[in-house]
Amino acid sequence: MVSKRLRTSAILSRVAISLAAVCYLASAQDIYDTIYNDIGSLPCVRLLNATGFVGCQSMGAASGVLYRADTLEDIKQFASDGGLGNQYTVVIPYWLLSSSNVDILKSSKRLAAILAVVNGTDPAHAVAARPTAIISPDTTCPNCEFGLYANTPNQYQWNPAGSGLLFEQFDFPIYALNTMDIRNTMSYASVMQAVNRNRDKGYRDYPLKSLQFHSFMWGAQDTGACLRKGWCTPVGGASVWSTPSTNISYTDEKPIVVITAAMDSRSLFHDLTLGVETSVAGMVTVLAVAEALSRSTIPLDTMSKHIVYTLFTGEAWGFSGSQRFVQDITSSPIQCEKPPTSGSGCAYPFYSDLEFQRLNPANIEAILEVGQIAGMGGAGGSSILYAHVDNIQESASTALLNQIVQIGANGSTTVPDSNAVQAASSDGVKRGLPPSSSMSFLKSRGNIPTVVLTDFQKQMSALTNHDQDDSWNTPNTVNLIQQAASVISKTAWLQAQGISDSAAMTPAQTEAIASIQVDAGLVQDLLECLSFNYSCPLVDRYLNVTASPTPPARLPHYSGTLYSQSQPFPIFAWSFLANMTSVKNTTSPTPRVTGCSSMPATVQCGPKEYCVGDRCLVSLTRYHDAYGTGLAMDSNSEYYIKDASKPVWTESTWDPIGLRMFDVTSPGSQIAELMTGLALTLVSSGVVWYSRRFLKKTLKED
Amino acid sequence: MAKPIEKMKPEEILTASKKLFFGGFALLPMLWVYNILYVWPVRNRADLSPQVRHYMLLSGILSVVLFVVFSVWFGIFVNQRLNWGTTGDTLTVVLVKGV
Repeated sequence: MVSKRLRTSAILSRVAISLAAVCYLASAQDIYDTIYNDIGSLPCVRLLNATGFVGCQSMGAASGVLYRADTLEDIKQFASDGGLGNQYTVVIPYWLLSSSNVDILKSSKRLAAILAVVNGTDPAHAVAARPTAIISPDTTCPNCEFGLYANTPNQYQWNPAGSGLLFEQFDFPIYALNTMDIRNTMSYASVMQAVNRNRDKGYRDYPLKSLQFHSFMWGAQDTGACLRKGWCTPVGGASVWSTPSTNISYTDEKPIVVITAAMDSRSLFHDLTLGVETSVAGMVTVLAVAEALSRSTIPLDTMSKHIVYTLFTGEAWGFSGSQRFVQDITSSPIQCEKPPTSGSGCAYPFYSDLEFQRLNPANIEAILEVGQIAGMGGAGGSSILYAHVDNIQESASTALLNQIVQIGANGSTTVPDSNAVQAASSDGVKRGLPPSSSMSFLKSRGNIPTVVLTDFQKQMSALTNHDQDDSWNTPNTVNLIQQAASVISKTAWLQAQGISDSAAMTPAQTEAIASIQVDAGLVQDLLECLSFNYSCPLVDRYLNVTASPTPPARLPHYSGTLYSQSQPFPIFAWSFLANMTSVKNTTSPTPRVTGCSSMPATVQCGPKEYCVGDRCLVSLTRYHDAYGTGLAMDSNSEYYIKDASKPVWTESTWDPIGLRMFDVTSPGSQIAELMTGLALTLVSSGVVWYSRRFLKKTLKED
Repeated sequence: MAKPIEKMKPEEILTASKKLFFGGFALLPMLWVYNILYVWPVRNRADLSPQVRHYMLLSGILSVVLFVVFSVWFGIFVNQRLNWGTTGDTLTVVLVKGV
């Protein structure tokens, strides 16, 4: 009964198509709606680098009957079932998406597209069904070709199990399904309903539900070719740097302590990129450090060294953010050939801001970096942090490493666990630094004391740049972040004060360092806000996000393309750091003015002030352009490859992307339809020909 | 209306064939092909100037040579234009997206 009604409706809708041309636009939409059901789309897209491209592409509109495969056996069954038709969209759990399984599916010659379910309500897609052995889709050493040891033979592989899925080329569409919000849950539900019905019909009893994909990527070959044709945009965004030393200058000869982390990550489906392990936890740590240090009873800008916070974007793409930052600060003073028509920066060569020239790279005396520390990769909630140092100029970092380990072990920290920090080389193996932003600094000057804190000793998390890094043990993660923030804030404070031995502190200093406490509540809030709920009260206080008609919740941590997308995380980081590093009320002659955002007509900030969270404040917090250092912008504002050996990642431009569901009739009835059409054409031609002849004759006779 | 070639005088045919042949050098190689097709129906007329056949033959040779040259160029261009970088893009009238 159901199928009969559907068949009738399918035929009717086809009749309707031919009438559509003469119908109103409104009714054309109605007809579209009777045929198609648009599904929310989470696509895999094409990205390009110096030598080629990665990701997904389909030259035409691919469409295929929905087919469900929950296991490897199902995939093999699909490939060997000779009774199937031509084109199928295979719905698989995300963890079955591997190049070997794709090869099996492709060998059937009837694969049109893949839908990978990241999260679903069906038992086959539930979190419980996920395999215990997770494999990172990144390479065995992510971004190492742009790292410090790129030219070292046999460099250590930090992600040995990495499958390299992110670097595969797929010539068919792959989309994700994920029940992460209402819209996507609805999409998932309708796809599952359709695929289950197809399965119940044995994939043979037409009409069957089919999906059509539009996923046409313009960019091809490599970044050089596609930039020339204007078919791609650099991957990148905005990094943020900030310092409490508002008077910092290039020539002040005061050493600098850099505290750094990454803000972005990557995964196969950019809309799902979360990166709590890869970057969010590190970002939260740096923000928590800034908050903790802002409590220091000795003002930070009076210390013997400057503290500079840097949060880099584009790090997942060959350390684009940190490499550009280092490249820019090492090339100051910038020769600006064409000043901007308005605002700060330079029009050519393009810089959105030039304040970075106040940072002297030669003055950088310590780098404290937070890498992966969410504790999501290890075997169930390890609470140890590992401190990694470079193994080429190891001696430069020894003192800093010892200080960190000592502070980590010191009972004076608020963290309950002692021995919270271990040297990564404590097992006697010197692996050097794991992939990190610090490498960009060390590439320009190798003897900067540098420590990178991570939750792993030998191997990066299996969730590195994974799409399923969406569940973590909150107490453990918060604890790790708090530990890391505590160790880093105290180390940075001691470094900035120029104290190498904590025993030699003055009473004022002892009191001041005791005032530096990492707020666990803040850590938990930041983690929650920056992963799943951007509209949380904390972010709202700064950015008034809940005023939006559709308050954002989970936002992707993919950096996006340069200058073309909003940068929610850099914007928040900027606001938060500006607040934490701003000149305090106590040292400022006038009390802070509030109301600059809520009452913009009456309250206006001073010329050197910024309006942050409704308050006017003075702060040296700046955005920094983040995109591959192999790319450069010419005087016509077009990008080109300046140095192909450096990162040049770009994202392809594409035609409107989407997928829609419709009923497809059996191949037999499709042929019958075609034949009927042809027959009708022939018959009508014949009738015309005959009647013309007939009329001619009749008219002649008259 | 132009006279059909069958009704043309031999000297008229010669003039036409000559014009077509030399016209071909003005970057209009299709005129050589046209020359052959045009004169073909009257090629065996007894009163035809032998020069006409001469022009036909030359037109034919040039057509074939150019056909080969163009085909080879086309083959090379289609297969290699993506490897020629900027030059390839400049030579291409309509850039094909996605490849």
